Amino acid sequence: MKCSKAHKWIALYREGELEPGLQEKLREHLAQCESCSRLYQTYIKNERIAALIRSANPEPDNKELLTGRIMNAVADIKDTSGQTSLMAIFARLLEIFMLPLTRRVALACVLIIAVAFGFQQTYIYSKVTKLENQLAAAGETYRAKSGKADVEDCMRSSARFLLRFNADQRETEKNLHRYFREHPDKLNLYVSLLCNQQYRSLKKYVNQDNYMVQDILFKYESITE
Amino acid sequence: MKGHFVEVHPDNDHELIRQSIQGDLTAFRRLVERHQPYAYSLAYRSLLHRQEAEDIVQDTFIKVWLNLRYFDFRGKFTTWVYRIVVNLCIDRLKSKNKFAGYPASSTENSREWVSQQDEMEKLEEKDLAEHIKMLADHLSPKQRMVFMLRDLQDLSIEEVCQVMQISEGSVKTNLYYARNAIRLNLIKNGEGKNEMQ
Repeated sequence: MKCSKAHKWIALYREGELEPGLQEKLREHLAQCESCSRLYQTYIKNERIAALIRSANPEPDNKELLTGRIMNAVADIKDTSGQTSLMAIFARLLEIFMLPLTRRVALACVLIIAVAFGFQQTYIYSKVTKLENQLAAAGETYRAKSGKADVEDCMRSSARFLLRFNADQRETEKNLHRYFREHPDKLNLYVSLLCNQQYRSLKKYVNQDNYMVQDILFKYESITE
Repeated sequence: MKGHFVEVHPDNDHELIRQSIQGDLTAFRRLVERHQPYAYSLAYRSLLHRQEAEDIVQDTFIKVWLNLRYFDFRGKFTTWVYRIVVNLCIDRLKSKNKFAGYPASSTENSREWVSQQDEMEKLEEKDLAEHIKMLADHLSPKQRMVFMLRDLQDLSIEEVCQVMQISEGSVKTNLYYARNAIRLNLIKNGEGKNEMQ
């Protein structure tokens, strides 16, 4: 047997992975080869050393002293944590800025997207709120002038409807117009819109539908008279 | 017995952790006392320096205290502590490698540790010191931590995966390289001695 093969077999044997038939051959070689026998003894010595390391559990010079050090440090942190929340925020920010470049870039991207999304939502919300206020004012004007009581119902349904609108004013106007065409029963609300600032912008759409114009103008005139 | 994972009852830990989160320092002290031994053992075996090992243990429990409220009660506290120790040790080893290499006192320290053993074991003191020095010099921080956890701290492969947060394949690969490096060094040293004889 070549010594190089014996070296591999020794490793397998010490890990308990050498077949029984080969173990006998290895023993025969070790009995004849002084060099491989010495290597084998080195393996055994190494295993004994590893076992010694495992059994010799290192301990601190003074366990109590170390525990005391730890507890003192923790107590200091506990005492100061309630008083220095600003410092804690600063430390957290510092920690973020100390992140690796890739994480910082990723974090910056997430922040930019979040800010952009928030801005867009705020913009849409302000537009819708403006429309709702206009609608409410128009409804109130209409109610005051017409003395009819069903305006509030119209307002509620239209408010839900408005929330689905695009932030774009012209798009909203188109949608309003489409909506009222499909819901003739909400014509009162439409008229109430005409009473307010929406009149001009809506008028051009109204004019496209001759069959509605007369009715709307009639209602409008009857209110404004 | 399989390492330290079975020595500390997890349910008792969880109760102590809950009390510690409420700010109970007595409960936290008990946690420190229960988990300090294996934290120190791993830190010392990794760094071979008493003072540095104590610093690592102190930093570990400060991190534990600061992050207790984020502890996942589905996991083992021991795994979490091991993970913190390992990360701190790897950082320390990397900074050592970057600046001054391993301290010359490593062998002396390992001898100091061995000197605590009985007379028969003292016979192997020199071998042990050389062995530990060899571990320090020939393995990367990651390989060394995997080897320490598996072969010296006696954790299972699965436990090493959890502590190191790497795959089983990665643990086995690192372990293979670590053991192989030690084996090659053994053969090299053996040949050197043979030539001298």
